[in-house]
Amino acid sequence: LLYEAYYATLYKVCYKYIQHHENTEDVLHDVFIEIFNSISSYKYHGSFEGWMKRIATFKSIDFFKTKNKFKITDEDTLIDSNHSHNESENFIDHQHLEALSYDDLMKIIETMPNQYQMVFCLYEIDGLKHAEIAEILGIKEGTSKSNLLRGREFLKKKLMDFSKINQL
Amino acid sequence: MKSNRDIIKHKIDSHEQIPSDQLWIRIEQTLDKPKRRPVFFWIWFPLSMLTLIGGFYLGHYGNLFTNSAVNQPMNFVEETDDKNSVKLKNSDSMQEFWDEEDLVKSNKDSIVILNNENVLMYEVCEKVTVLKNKIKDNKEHNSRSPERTKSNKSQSKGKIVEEFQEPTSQVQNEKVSRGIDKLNNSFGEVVDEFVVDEILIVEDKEKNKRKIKPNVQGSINEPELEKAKFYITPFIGTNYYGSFQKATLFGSYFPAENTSSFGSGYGVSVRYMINNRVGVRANFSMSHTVHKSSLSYINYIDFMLPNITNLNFDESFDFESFKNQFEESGQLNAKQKMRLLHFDTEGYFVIKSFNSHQLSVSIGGGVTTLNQQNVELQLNGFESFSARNSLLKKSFMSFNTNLFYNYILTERFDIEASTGIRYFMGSYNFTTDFKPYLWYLNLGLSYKL
Repeated sequence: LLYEAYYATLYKVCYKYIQHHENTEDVLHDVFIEIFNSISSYKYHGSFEGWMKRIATFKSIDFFKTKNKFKITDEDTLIDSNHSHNESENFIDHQHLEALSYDDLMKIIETMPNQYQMVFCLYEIDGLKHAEIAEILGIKEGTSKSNLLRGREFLKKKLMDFSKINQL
Repeated sequence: MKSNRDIIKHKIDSHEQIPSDQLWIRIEQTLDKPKRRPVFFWIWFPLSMLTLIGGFYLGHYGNLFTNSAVNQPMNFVEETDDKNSVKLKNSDSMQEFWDEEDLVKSNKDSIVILNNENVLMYEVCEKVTVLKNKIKDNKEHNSRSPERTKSNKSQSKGKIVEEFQEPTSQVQNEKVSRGIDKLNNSFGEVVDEFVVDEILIVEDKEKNKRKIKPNVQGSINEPELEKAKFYITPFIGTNYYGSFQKATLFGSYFPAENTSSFGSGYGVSVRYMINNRVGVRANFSMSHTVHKSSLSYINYIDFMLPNITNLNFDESFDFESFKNQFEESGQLNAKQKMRLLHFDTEGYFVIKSFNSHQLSVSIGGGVTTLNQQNVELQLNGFESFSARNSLLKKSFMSFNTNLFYNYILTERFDIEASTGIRYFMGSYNFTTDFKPYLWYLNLGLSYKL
């Protein structure tokens, strides 16, 4: 019952980081094993779904880090002035974003450089704060902000390319 | 108005993509597999006990620690009331061998019994009567002074050998010499005298041979434990740290599951023996251990604050973030790395003293100072936080009891294996329901003064 109720939700949580069906299933397998093994330690405090999503997120990040030998350095903290316009939460025109299909969105995220992709997903999709992202990834908050802005810029550029193609 | 974030999130959430049916089958298979239980303790405990008992057995009955020549007589002799005297277990069983050797001549007054390798040997000499008389003298001497010293034994051995050096013929001379050599080589420091109480000659009509059935007693001179006054013993070991009751790491608002773990220790002890049976012992030791506990969040995070802020967390630690994550996680696993410094004095009592081994117990008490070096907090599904706790540094009384096994190695050194338990008379937490104990197994080398 637990599996049937949450497998789709947790699959999506994992997939956005892994973006590979079989690998996502492998991670999801580990996530459910972890959930079933530690469910007795869950004390009904806080959201159960949130607890499971956290496990899925961390398992996925671990997989991502291991597979890509991924490490964000704090050298990425430097933010040039051109990025400042992306600090707004609405950094992309809504029409362009709405027009984007799920598959196209995932393709863009997939092609995003690793260090931007991770922060982008944690912030924009999972809704974590920079302080939390910094702790999870072991980076400074400034680095997290910097990578988010660069990820947004990347997405914006890709969206512009998409709209140009569509106009043609 | 929707933000970019809402749109992206909606796109992902509304997309239906599901894993294959095979995934659940795999999960089921994994869940059905029996869990690997931590068997370390259950292996470690009997193994350590087996090592202790096995070491004692081999040391006492086997030939693990001594050369074969020294220990061979033990196979054929058994203890008598006199701890320095032994006699053959079953001389009948060796009769056939003596016949096979066929070195026994018809003169019953010319027999010397020797031990070589695994069997009893004998040589012919004419002075067995002298030997018997001499041994009789020695027995009387022994009975008068049972606590003989090693030098006395050597003297008695020398006299016996001297008596044999009176052969009456060239052939017998050679045999006697060879016999004396064997006597020395075989027994070395082990057996320094024989007692031939009776020699029976039994006719074996079938083989047309005479059988010799001596009633032999020999004294064993195994290396005895030096009766030193002072023993200085550095030791290292392993320990198992646990608690008898449930722990509350940060107060009663956060009930914790009791868990335990293994650690290591080292130290030095000094023992002074008042007499052969009783001594006093002082230990100074250090134990490193990790205590694991599991806390559940019950919506009283604010009560945790005064306690948790005493922990000097890393700079990256964000209490607000931690609080939120703890609330969501509902479960916190804490690992407390601890250093325990013990000083205690004990009464030391010898239970059983063998020639080269000794079993003893000690009981005593002292002071243990606990210094918690590091706290690592792991939220379920979240990352770890590390901290130092400046509060958890306190001292309390402890009681301990030990079992010792000593084996003599050289005149100056003994090996000492010990196991014991230390019970702390107090709690290092903010509540009083945590009663830790330390169970340990140590191996040391004693230097005797």
